Amino acid sequence: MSAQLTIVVMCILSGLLILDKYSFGEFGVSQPLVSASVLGFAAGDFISGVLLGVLLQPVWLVELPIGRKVPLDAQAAGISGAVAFFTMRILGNPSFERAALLSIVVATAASLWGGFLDTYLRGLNGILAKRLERVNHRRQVLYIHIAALDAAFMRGVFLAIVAAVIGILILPLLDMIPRIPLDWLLAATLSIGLTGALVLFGLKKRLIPFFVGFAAWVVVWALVRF
Amino acid sequence: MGTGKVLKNYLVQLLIQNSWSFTMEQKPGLTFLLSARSRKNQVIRPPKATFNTNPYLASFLTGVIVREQHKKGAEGVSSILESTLAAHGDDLYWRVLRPAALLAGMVLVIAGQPLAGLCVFLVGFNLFAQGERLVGYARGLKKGRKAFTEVVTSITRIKKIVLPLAGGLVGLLCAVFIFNLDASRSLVTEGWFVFIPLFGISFVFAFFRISPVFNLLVNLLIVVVLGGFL
Repeated sequence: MSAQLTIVVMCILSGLLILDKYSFGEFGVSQPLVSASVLGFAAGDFISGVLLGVLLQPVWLVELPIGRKVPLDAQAAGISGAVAFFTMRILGNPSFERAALLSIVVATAASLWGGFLDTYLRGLNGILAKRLERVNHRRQVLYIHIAALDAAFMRGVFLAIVAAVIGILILPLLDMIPRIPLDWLLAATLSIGLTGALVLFGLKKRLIPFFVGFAAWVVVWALVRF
Repeated sequence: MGTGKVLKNYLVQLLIQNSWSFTMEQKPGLTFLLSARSRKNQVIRPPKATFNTNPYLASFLTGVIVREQHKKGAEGVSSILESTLAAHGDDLYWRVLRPAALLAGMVLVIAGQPLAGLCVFLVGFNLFAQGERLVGYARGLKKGRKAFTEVVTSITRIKKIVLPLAGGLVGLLCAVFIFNLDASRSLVTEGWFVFIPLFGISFVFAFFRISPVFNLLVNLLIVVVLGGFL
């Protein structure tokens, strides 16, 4: 598959993946861990996709869509980060670490402006919902739902196109980006997810399981190593 | 209720949050659901101006609404069930199950099993989430509001089991990360010296509920500056 076609496929896939956010099913495939892996598979580099997913996921691990709250857009972050990453990798072949650092920055920006887009989309849904009040045939209800699905799909495609353009524009600057070891990048994002989860699950009651979990692996590691 | 009807209801339930808006919330989704049952292609509108609950538990609530729609006070019952199920459902699915399943997936990915990690997350989360969506409607239709206590009890029970597991998974992920990356080297390496302060800083951010975006920017700044020195 040519580079251009791969980017087009990634954009279409992004539109489909973002439907999972709340438009269709909510299976969890739009979470950065899965979406980056899927987009990586489409770009012909599944392992890099999974690794990028592990890098991105912890930052938005504890963003909760509770009630009417519109949280930071983890789904937009995952998709935009992955599309920017693979666009850079396909067109410029930079090192994993450099492309990953930049894609984390792109994902962070996307989580913010993806939220604005999401709020706009929900406003658009409000207009469709008002129209629903006037229809009197079941088929018309279906059409309105298809229109809402279409709008959500286009949001995903739009996010992906912007990320791909950013990826292309950043390419000439890649040599100026510091090369941070993968361990360190992972430490930067994983520490956010781990501490966020610990606080989310209830700090006082979960500290014992936390230490049990930690100790269990220490024992296994020590047994394997020594 | 036949398998065909259960599956048809499940497929329509997948769209319950589609066209969610601030003014009517899930009402368009519920209208679609109720209209899908109509034999004369009519549009059946819910009795209320808005409708909003946890998307996975909406299946059960729809069953209750269909069963009790012609009874007196059905609207009030729907409102109470909506908010209570939303509180319990959001707490279980968003606050506990999804992060826990993601943590389990990440443990496996970092331990070198990427495919297994993805499968564990997707199966672990959807077993409960989509499972409830699949069986909830029939339960609501059969037992009505009487099944409410049963649903809340099962949610509380799952939460009690999963929460300690989730705490353990946080510890496990922490350990897997440190030891997996440093396994080929000595026990105390530079990875520790980067991870431990970042963990401390992130803890402060998480404890005071400061946005993870600021936390990420600070952490990245630290690794970039440290990377320049080491």
